[in-house]
Amino acid sequence: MDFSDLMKIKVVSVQHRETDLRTTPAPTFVLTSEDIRRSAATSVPDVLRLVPGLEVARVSGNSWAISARGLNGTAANKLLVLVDGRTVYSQVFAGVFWDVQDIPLDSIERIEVILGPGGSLYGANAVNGIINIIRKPATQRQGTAASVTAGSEDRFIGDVSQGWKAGRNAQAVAYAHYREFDALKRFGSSGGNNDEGRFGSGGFRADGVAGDHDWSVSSDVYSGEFHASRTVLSLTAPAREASDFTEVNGQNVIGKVRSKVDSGVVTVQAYYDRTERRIPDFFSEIRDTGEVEFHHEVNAGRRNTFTWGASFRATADRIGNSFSISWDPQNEFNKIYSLFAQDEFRVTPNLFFTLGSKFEHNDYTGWELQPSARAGYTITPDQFLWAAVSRAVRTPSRLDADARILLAVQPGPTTLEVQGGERFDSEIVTAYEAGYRARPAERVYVSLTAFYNRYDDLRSLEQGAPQFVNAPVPYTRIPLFEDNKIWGESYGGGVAPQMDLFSWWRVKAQYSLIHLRLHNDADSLDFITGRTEGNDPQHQALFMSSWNLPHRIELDAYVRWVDELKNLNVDDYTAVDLRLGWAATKNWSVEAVGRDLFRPPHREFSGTAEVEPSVYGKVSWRTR
Amino acid sequence: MAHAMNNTRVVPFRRAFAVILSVFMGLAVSVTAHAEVPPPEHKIKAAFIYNFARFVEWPTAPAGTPIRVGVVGTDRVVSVVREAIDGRLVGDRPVVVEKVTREEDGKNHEVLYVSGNNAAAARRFVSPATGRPVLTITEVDRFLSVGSLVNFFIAEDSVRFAVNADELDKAAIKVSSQMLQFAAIVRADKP
Repeated sequence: MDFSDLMKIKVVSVQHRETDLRTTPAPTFVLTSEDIRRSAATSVPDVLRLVPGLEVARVSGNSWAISARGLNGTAANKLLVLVDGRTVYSQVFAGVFWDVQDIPLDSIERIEVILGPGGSLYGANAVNGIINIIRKPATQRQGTAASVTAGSEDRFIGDVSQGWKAGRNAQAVAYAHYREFDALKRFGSSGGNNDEGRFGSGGFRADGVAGDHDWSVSSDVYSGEFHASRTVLSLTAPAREASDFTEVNGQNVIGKVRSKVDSGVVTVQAYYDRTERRIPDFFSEIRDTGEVEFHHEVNAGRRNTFTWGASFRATADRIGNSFSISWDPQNEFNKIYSLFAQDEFRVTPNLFFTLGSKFEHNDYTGWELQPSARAGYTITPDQFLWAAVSRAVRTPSRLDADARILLAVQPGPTTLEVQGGERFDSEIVTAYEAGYRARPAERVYVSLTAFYNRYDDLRSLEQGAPQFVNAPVPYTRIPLFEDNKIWGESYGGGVAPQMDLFSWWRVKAQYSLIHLRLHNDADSLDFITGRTEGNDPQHQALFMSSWNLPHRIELDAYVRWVDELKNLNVDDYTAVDLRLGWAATKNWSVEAVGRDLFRPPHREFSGTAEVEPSVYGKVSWRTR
Repeated sequence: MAHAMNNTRVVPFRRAFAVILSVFMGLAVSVTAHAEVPPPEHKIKAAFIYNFARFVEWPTAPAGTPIRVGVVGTDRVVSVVREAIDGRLVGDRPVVVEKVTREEDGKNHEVLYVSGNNAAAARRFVSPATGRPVLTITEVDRFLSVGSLVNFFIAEDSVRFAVNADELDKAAIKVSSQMLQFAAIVRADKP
């Protein structure tokens, strides 16, 4: 057999799968492009449901509550999310607007998730984890590709891309994406939840090699509108339901150069991002962000790998006031400087330690220190053990520092308002984690993780003395000052075995457990937060089975069980997703998918939206 | 592949552990030793190695002398490779497969294949052979830090190989473009 024949043979290789025995001393999980393709998902938040240890709850047509290790919420703020190294975490509320992270799944090379604090390398706000979405370079997107999806929930999704060789050592690709999705079902009624929407994006990317340098540049634009309903509070009239469209648009450009130098590898990355969001009568934001980042990995001897780097980020915003949320100041310019260093030291061939820290300076709390110590031990070539202790912080967002948020209007009128301010400090987590990865047999792989987190200075809302305000009408205001008088602990872990029963049948299972307890400080006057910060399922389990059948037919089944959310009156639920795919010819393939099957509509989080069974079909075509 | 598959393997204890795991996770599956086994990954890689030998030129290659393929790895991997290509001819030179256990022995072979995904161990076996006319092959995630010339990886469930362009420039052996056209040429760490 010659090379081209050999390269056509499919093998079962547990050895090289991304979920294989990596010697990373952290709970890493990678979703490869194959995992993503074989999933029943049509969006990034949906595909994140496959990651063990992540909580993903659909809140409405365009919003999700996603967190890791607890403390989930629509404004969940403990997860750092990056796309190609660009932070998509919002400075406004310290969380992620998932509706604009609608990256076409076919353009993703892999999604790396690291649970737990990644502070030492990734900086602040990676308190409970990091999600890094890495898109395919132009080399993997050559030729023409197009796909159309139509379904009951995702009404229409269209993607096209055209890649070409741009010179001897460079490739480029241009792409466009459009999605229109239907509303979810409304709890307690037979009608919809009025949360439908549409989103379009496009961009290009070029990658190349120039001597000892790899470079890449990409740029994207996007625009969308999402129907949403809110309760609008007023001093002079009863609360009313408003239903209108949120408008979003944005542009970004990223450049990166990775160079091999005598001492190792140097990476420089810079990006510019503009984002605009307008929710009528509620909130509007225009934000410009620029960042430059430098990374140097040094081969410091046979036993040592030393990495260090520095970065500078500046962000400027203009935020619009409404009666429900007002901001002081409305326009702000924020700078973040950081420096990090990490050393991996190999004591023996099988034992290594990693010691590192990030030093970050922000305009609200000054310098923050995020150290981490990790160890990894290869017990046998098929077993790896690791342990880590780290500290990470979640720094104040604009919301914490500068916002006044109206929570409720009672007769009087009397208002309950959250008041941000300088009193609010960073939230801190100290995490102790350990894990074990093994390959007990050639086609079996299992990973186990356990963690214990100690949280300090979590956000609390301290009731203050009532204030009497005269405008627009006389009313009493009860302020809730943002402070840090909650502490807590969580512990838990997970197990994820995977097995290739035959070359054509793979099964995976995942189970994770979280136990979270929050406490108020003795002098705390907070009576609300204990509830809003504890919206997590204690148990989650997922079972998946993938079959490669004759005639290039693929069948995938996913069964997911998520425990109840006691605080939000959400029942536990089981969801079944089924996918049938057929590679009809070298260029054409078709898929039929059913999601959330075999059960009535169910809520996954607070709010009125219910996820109901849905189906979609997809046709894809590509040259090559 | 040319040979018929004839491997009825005894179920080792580790297999039983896997079965217990499956049952625990609610799988009622009977995993049997005589389940249909796909071409083992290392059998395919052995076939690649045979093909590499056909397209590599060593500086001194007296007619009829064996092409010694040293394999670092478990006994099982060595026997799979041996069974696949030992005795085959490249021109008039027979392939001889040997297990290599000591780091300094690697350089006494025409081809050195270090199996396993342990970059540190691979580096220790590859270093003594660098600069010498040895085709060094690894299968690690961190290819470029190891110093080998060729690295196996899996892409879309098939075996592929990458060639380190820097090592290629420095190598004491010549690699034909008929082999390079199938390779992923890499020069610096890609994310």
